[in-house]
Amino acid sequence: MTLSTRLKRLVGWALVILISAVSHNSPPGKPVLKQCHSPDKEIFTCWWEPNAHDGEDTTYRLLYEKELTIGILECPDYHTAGKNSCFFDKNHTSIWVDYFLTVVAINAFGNTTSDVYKIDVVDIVKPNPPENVTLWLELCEDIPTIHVTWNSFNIGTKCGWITPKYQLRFKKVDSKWNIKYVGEQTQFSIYSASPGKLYIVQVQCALDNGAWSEWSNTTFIQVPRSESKQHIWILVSFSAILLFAAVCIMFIKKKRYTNKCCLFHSIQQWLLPPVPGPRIKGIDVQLLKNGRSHEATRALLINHGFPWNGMPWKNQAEEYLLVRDDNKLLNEDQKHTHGKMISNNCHSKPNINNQLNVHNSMNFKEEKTILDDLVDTSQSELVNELNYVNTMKTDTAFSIDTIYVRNVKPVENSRYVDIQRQDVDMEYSTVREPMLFPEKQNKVINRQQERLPYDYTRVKEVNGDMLLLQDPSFRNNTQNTDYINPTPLHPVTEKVHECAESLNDGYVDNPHTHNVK
Amino acid sequence: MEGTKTLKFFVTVVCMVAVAGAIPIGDLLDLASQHSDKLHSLSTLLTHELDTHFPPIGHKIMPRPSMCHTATLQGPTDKIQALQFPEHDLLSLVRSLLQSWADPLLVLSANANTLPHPAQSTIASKVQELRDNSNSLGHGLDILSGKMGPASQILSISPYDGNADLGEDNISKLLNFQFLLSCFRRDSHKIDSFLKVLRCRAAKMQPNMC
Repeated sequence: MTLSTRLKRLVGWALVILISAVSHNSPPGKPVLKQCHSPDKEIFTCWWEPNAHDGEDTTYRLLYEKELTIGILECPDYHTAGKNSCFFDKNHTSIWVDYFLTVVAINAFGNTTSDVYKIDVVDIVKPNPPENVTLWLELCEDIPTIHVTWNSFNIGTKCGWITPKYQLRFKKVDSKWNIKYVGEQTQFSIYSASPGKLYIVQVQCALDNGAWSEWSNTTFIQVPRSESKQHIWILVSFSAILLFAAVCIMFIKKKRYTNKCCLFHSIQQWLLPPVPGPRIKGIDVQLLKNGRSHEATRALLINHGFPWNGMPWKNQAEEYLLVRDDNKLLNEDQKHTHGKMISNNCHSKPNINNQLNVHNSMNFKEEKTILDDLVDTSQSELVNELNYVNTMKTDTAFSIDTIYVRNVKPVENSRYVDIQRQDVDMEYSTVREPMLFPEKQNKVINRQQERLPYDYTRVKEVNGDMLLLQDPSFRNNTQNTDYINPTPLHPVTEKVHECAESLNDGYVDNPHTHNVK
Repeated sequence: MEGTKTLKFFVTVVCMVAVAGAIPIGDLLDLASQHSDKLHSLSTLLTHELDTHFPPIGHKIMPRPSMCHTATLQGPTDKIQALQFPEHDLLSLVRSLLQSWADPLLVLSANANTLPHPAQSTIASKVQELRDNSNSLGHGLDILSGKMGPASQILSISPYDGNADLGEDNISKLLNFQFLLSCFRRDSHKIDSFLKVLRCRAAKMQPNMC
């Protein structure tokens, strides 16, 4: 050896000593194989982690053994996958075969081998997440549907080597994820998406029942608000307003006529009005009210077809008055006489009685007109009566009252209209008496009102003197007496009034009705 | 259980129709690969189930997969080989693999009832499902091989020579159970992959399937 070579060696050694003095001066630490991963069952990559204390000069080698292969092999590619990695290409990848991997760290002072890492490529398959996840919205009759599509896993699927399966998750903002298994398809539809919400969608895939990939990048879609729903709300509110207005109008209307405080009653009456009874054409209510009864009668007589002006008491249930035109009424079975005039002024409900006075004062004339309604103008007898009345020349309404009802509605064996009044809820008119005797109407009414709910057999209790002669003008009128006495009509009418509220007993046994003057 | 009943029903229908030669091979293969997919997914689930409570030492002393009794049944080990493998041989291999597992599955089933594992009942029911599925697949493949010719009907069954009781102590039992299951999982994956390759090959007229 020449002096130069010796010198070089000396310098080299010195450097080595220097370097090793600087470095840790020991073999490298044990590396660790971290993971291996295959994206498509055809290639795979493995990564290791070197020891932290290793110096820069440490080199690493990956050695492996393969099942069914003899010999130790070394990693074919250290660079493609980056630092501290080993990439196995197609030619070096076998599946259903165990690989036993080890990494060796080598430095100047020695080498250290890692633990054996066993893998089967099939077990380490984890694909990349699906790409190109697209969302689009379909509005079908205002029902939004979100359609999701993504690229399929192309490698190896054409020949059946790999079966990718997909899974999707979606949620509205600020709610929980909803995971749906899709299967082998590359599209999915979310039906009935909520309008006005922002949706987030992600997709992942797995190969051959293996591990699921990471979730794809988040994709968003905003579902527009439903216009039709707004329209519906507008319609609903509008109709509600209309309904409310209708109810108010109805209420106001009712109030005007019935003077009732209860809305319910007015609604009830509006919805279920009592059946109106017959009216006599030609009767002018206003005339009667004004007391010009003879004029009204004239009108009646002359103008049979006079249109009936609106009756304020349309809500009165009317019934035909039972009349008999002979004296037999008094003596015989008077049960047939069930005459009853009803007006809603006389409710069976006690709380309404307070109102009745007011009504009755108004309505006694109306009652008369009720009677009038029952008059069958076609009857000759009635015409006679009317004529008779007409000649009386009284300006009291009483004269009208003499137009009593006769034979209004013949029933089989009698000429009485049988009105069964079992229902106490029906409105009864007890105003018959006040019809004839306007001055005492209040009393009568009161009395009648008292008994209204219970017992309609008040005939007995009615004083005879109040029946007919309360109207002074009437008393004074001899003609009236004539009118009264010979004709059975008056008693009948008396009876009618007396028994106005009697349901079944009719005019019963009140003989002194005759005596009424 | 209902799944296997429907499978059986399908298989019987397939049998009857196949006798008349009405069902094309492509459809038969499609049906078979659905069975095998289910089989593989079941076995994967089972191994995961077992791993939840597996003694750590087990991983270290687990026998090598080359110790599986079906290791002798060689076949393609990568995609290129699989695509080049002849169809009849592929089907024959699949049938042989399946048949080789008939007895070991019985052993697994018997031991699942007394397995010292917290998820024992789930495991036992899944093993039963595994057996039913395997039987159905076997029937289907018999019909298929009948249609594909005598070359596909060659069977080379690897016998199972392990112990019926899988071990004497709990750890051994668990270990051997897990090992046997892992072998089955690998073989079921092979069966599934090969059948799907066959399906795609037969469905050249229907590119949408592959």
